[in-house]
Amino acid sequence: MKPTLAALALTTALTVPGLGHARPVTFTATLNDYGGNGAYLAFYVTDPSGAYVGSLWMAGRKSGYYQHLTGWYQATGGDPAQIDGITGASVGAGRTLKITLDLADTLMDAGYTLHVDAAAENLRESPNDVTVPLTAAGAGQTVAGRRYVAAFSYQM
Amino acid sequence: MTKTLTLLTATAAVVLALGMPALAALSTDAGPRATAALEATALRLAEGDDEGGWFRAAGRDHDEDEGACDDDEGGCGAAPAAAPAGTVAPPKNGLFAPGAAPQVQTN
Repeated sequence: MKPTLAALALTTALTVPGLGHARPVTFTATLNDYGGNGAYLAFYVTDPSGAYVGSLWMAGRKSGYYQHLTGWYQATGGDPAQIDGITGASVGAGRTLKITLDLADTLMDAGYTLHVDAAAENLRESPNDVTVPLTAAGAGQTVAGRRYVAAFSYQM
Repeated sequence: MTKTLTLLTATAAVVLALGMPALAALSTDAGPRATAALEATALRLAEGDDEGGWFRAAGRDHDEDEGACDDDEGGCGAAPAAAPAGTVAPPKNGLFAPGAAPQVQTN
């Protein structure tokens, strides 16, 4: 009995902290009615020094268009491995994209910044259409993007 | 003189027959759209050249609708397409909890 309890205690001790290291975060972006085709959006994170850390989501599947998401493209060289498993459809004008991701707790209140680059066919590119610091206090606050994103927020 | 008048009358009739419908269409349905298109073009031109645009990528651009560049087949020299969400795990970039699949919704 004692070895069983010891094993249970050990596995619990190892598992519980792991569960505490991530939390679901929902990002919501509503686009302006800009009157063009579906927009490509790249969600990515930079560290306190401004260096690229990783991507969170890519809206738009054609890699040939990624060069127009200029901030993301400069950081990654368009490497598809950066967005494997986190790529979906482009977002139509006036539509709302909602993504829920299980993110590491260490991202919050640690100086990380979320960037959203945007571009649409025959229209202007918009690197850093949205830039927001990832903080607990910033959760639930809505901000406006520069060109394509009418409203952006994240919820924890 | 009679011949000249006849020719003039015939020309005027042809011009009226062809021109009036076109003028009528321009002044009703097409007018606002043409004006809006001109305004949109002027707005884009007025935005300046501080940032690039999709339309500036002539020669390296691809037409999604016509399938001129199918990335699934590795065409146009573009990088291969990334794996869609749900088909593989998110990248191990330290941002995601292991094994958690993203949930996405568009309204």
